[in-house]
Amino acid sequence: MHGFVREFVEACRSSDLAGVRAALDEDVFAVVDGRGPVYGATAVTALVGALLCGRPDTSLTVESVNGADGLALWRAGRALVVVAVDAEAALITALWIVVSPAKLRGWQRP
Amino acid sequence: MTDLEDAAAVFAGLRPRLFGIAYRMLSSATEAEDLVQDVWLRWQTTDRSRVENPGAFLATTTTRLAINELQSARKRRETYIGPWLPEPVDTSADPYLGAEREEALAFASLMLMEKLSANERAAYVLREAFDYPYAQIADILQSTEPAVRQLVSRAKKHMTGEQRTTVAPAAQKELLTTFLAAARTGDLGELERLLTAGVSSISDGNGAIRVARRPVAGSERVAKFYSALSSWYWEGVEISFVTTNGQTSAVLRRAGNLEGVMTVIASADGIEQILWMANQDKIAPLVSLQGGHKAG
Repeated sequence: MHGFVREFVEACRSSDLAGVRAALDEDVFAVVDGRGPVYGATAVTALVGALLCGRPDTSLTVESVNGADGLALWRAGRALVVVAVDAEAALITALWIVVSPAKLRGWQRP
Repeated sequence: MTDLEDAAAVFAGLRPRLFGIAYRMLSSATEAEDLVQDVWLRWQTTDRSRVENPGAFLATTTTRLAINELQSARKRRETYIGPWLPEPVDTSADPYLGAEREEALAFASLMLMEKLSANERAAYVLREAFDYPYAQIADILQSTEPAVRQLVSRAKKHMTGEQRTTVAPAAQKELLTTFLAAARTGDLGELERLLTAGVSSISDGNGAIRVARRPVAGSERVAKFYSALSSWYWEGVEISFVTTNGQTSAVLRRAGNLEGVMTVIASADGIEQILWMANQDKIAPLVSLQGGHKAG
């Protein structure tokens, strides 16, 4: 597992948005399924902060998503969000964010 | 062991590989699962005594069904609201998802493969991820070895060409400014000239600005879209430019308020992609998990 995804998760868990931002490339983009692209570290930090970090009754974990370290946000054994992560030079360059329950059927844990 | 038990054991051994092919073709675990199930039904009713090589037979069946399925899946995805993303797949138990290599599995790769023809995609997946010999891919696709080599080479060019951008920073900036000028005046001919045949335009829409919520694809449609927009969108919009890491973006403001940011990704052939991103204030609606999603 790459350290920077772990660091990203730990910062996010404690709602440390400066720490979240530090894991992102300046030119990072996030694409939300069915919604749209968000571009740049400031905007992506805001999106991630609201979507993934410090939400009550949830847990954020590092998962193997499409062959690389990614993220999943869980509530009661069900994944609410799964994120595939692209990285270069130990910085996150892209987040591919899927929230549609129809696309997360394979992501249930007891 | 009965004949059927034997058939089941053979199939179970090959299942991860078949799923890996189907997922890479369809970008959907649900659709790949259904397809592999369909292959299993066919395998049960096949005269297996006449099948010399079950692995080759099942990979062929899976690939051919996936090529058909991809064509109807693409029609469904055209009506998806907003940009369409693949279904993420858990690879903790099997990092390459049944393949020899990790190729054609990352989201960026799956997104790029959406632009390949179904045959190009199959040839690329079988060659690059599963390391099939060209001759075998030719059998699977009912084609010839030289034709398959060409499919794979075209696909690779597309995949690497877009991942490692593109043109010199000055050329990208020039294309962006020329594009904006043509978009403002709605010059259809000039717009089409600037765009590559496979161009796509992605905007987040979000209901806040009246723009397309789903990607617009193809030079003719994209040119028409921006041409139609020209009659009302640009009135009072001021443009300034920012450059980060050699990529120039246009910042759009209306009466001093940030309206959005627009940039183009370009290759030697012209504009490959137009990205239109909303003002940060417009991000808020994204984070509602209860948002009205359609299955896709």
